[in-house]
Amino acid sequence: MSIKWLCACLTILLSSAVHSQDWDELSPQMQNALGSFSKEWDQLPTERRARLHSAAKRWQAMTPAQRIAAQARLKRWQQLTPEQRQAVKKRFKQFQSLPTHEKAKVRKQFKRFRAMPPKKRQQIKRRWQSVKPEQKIRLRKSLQQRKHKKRRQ
Amino acid sequence: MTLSKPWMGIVLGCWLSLPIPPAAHADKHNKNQSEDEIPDRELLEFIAEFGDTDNETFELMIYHGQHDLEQTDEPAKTQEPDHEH
Repeated sequence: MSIKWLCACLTILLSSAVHSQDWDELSPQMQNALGSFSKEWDQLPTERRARLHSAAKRWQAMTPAQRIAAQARLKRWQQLTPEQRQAVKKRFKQFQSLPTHEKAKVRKQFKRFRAMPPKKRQQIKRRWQSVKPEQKIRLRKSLQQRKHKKRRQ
Repeated sequence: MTLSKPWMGIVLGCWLSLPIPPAAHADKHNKNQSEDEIPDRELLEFIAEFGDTDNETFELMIYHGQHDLEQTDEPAKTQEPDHEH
């Protein structure tokens, strides 16, 4: 095993040790930010502690404007039904697994879609909904092939 | 005694990973955090989930959340504009 790997492993191990600190080992600032979890903190799984610890750190580093924006986003999130939230989480996971250039492409297409007049968007939506699932798969494949051809030319 | 470069790397890596003593970073954080700005559970969970997401991506995800359930299957809506072109 190379020294670089050893360094990386040690760093990961130590940083996970930091994130899995018990409540009494957290700094007063961190205890303050994570106050709503004080009672159950020591029983939380390490992975969840690490996520919440990072979130609290992120919150502490935010400017007032960023905090307001985060709260506004949360409000929008709260307006979704549990089913809608599940759908968002599912899509988000799919999106995160895409390569960077694919992500950029998806964002670009969505931007284009949103910039369209509502009537046109409805039209596209209706058209898409009327297509049978197997046709959609075929359509996607042919679109991808067409794009590949264009790139080669 | 002098350390070789790889060992110095390990020592530095370990040192950087150690938690900063509370007193050392207390001031840095205090200026950003007042009593009324303590995030509640839901906000923290939300930041943990979507904290590093840019606005555009967040909007895209919310759109899918609101519209995916209208469909019987799961089309790649992001490709919709392409059907028109």
